Amino acid sequence: MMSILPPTTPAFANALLNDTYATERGVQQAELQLTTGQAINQPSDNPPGTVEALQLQAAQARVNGYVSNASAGMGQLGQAQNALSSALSTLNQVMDTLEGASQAQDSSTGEQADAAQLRSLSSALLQIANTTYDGYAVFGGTSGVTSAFDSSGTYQGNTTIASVTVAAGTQLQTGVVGADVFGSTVAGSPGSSIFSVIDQAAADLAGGNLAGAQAAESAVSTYVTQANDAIATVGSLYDQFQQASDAANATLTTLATETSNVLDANVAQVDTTYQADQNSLQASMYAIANVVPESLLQYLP
Amino acid sequence: MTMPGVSIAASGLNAASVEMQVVSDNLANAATPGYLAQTAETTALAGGANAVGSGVGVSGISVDYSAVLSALMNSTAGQASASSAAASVLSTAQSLFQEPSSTGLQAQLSTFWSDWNAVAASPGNAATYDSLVGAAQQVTASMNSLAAGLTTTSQDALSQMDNQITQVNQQLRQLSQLNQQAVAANGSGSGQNGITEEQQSLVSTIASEIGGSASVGPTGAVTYKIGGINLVQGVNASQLETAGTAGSTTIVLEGTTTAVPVDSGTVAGLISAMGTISGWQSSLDSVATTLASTVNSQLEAGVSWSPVGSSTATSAPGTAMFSFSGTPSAATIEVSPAMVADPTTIAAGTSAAAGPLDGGNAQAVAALSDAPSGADALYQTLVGTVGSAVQAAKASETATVVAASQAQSTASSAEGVNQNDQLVTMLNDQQAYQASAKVIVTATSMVQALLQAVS
Repeated sequence: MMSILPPTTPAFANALLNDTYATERGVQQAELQLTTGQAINQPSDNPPGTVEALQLQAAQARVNGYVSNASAGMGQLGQAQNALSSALSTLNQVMDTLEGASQAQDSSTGEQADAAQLRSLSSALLQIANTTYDGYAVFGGTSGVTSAFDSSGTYQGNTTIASVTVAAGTQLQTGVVGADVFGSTVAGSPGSSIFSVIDQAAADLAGGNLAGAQAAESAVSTYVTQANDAIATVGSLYDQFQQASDAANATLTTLATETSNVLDANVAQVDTTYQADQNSLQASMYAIANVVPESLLQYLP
Repeated sequence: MTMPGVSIAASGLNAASVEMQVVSDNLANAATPGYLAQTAETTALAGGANAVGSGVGVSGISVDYSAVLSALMNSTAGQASASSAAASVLSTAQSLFQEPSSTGLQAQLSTFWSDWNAVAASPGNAATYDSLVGAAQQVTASMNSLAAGLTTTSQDALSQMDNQITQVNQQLRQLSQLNQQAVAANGSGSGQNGITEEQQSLVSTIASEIGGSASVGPTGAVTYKIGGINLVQGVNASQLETAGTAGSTTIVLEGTTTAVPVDSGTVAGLISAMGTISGWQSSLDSVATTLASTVNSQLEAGVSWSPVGSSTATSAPGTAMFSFSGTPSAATIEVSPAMVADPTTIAAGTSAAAGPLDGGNAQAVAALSDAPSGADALYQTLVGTVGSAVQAAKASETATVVAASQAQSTASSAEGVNQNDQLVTMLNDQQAYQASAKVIVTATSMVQALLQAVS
């Protein structure tokens, strides 16, 4: 507001200086934004925007965790899937061996060879069942054992399946329990695990008990079904992890865009303001430089 | 025989001469801060012969002082100083938060929670436990550092205020001494102009430092008071001192408990800023204690396995992750020494029955990251509060500085030296002086003409 009193030179210069300071602050603010590329460089630049930026930062970290979990989950499930496929293949070989032995009415030498084949397949299956991931048995549940089954085929793990968070409030299991696929026999109770079934069949064949070997076919087929079910379960879980990972990555993209909208400076707009402020600053400087010369003193003789 | 009008002309010469001195003094002080323009007051002298006056006399030198404008200027200057001081201190405190950035406490909290997630996903991996403890130490170190920074900022403000009070006390004593000189000058009839300016200059300085208002009495003595308490009255000056701590500081009369209600000036701004920072410190303490209580509470519900992945579970409750080296606060929070020594004591599992690869409890801790009243939410609210407070302080600073500048400009226009006005007065004085001199020359010529006629 202009005063009706004629301003004194110092007062006028002072008023111009204050205007100049205000313009300088604008120039500095624009320079900071152009240098950092950020519209918010400290909370006071935009308090609600800062809070939103912090929330987005925290959300990004969380979702990054979900992506990481999904990746680890898929790694573990992939390992389980490969192992189960190998197990299924081995079980089919067992079935083929048993069927061949029962249909061919082998000689004693042939039965011995089939028995040896079965024992070999049993050993291979045990190795598959003891597949590890990060040093721990894939099919051992959350027990922390390094081998899900011991050398006698006895299950060492537990029946709890580890799960990880792949979205807010959403956990997915990272595998299947070995006992549900290969059985959970304890030593001395034959017939309740695939290993004991095969070992018994091998023993029957070696002893000439073809009826016993034929009876094992039915038991083995049950484990084939269990293996197929497990493969389906693991495949389904893998797909869920994949979907969760895709969703988390999409969320990350959205969060990054939102963060950019909140934090990043509108360079074109800032540059325009910067130019305008620089012009104002130059004009202010010119005005200050002319305050003293504009005096009656110039016109006195 | 007397020369007609010569004595009258001589009075004109004298008056013009005095006016020139005043103009000269004004122009010499045109840029002197706080200088009040002077004006030579002239009066027509009566008592001459033939009902003609006896010339012009200088009745006094007046000072262009406006009590109203000075009060306005001092008041707005006090408000501007208060808001500038508060904005400066709060801006310094704000910079300690380093938000938003990838190095602030929020980023570290996010890393901390992510590491909990990593433990939950790989409870059998000992490296994730080491990483988590490291992240927890980063969080506590940042909280300690932020709390210490806020304390230091507050202490610096308190120290600045103590210095300010010392200065004010000295200025109050100076003002009382000037009062003494003004009263003496008033009594002797000599001019007070220089004293008045010194008084007003001091009043302006004191007002910008501690607020308050001044009034000039008939003897020329200035009474300075804040909220009804006289700090300077006549030749007596009270002294001030600070009381309380950085967050609850008050100003009292020295040696008493009488509070002086300082609501303006740099001191008021510093008091306000320290109070605001104290509130921030309390909020930061809440962030620290909430983090400790929520995480520790969840850990109590879990079990740990040592070594990681082994079959030996510790019995619940799990070991606390955070402890305090003193009264629970952001300044004292730390990662429990036992956990630093053995990170595998982190109770990641939900129960012994669930096994060592169950990270259910770590999952539960990780889920605290977005709890509505969790540490993150409290911290985000705090940063928002900090931003709003500094933004408001800066806006107030801008507004009050403009108001103070306008008031100063108005006062300066009314009380200061306008060079153009002075130059016009100088031209008038020059012409008046020349005219009076011409009268003397003419009168002399008239007398000489008469003498030649009679000789």
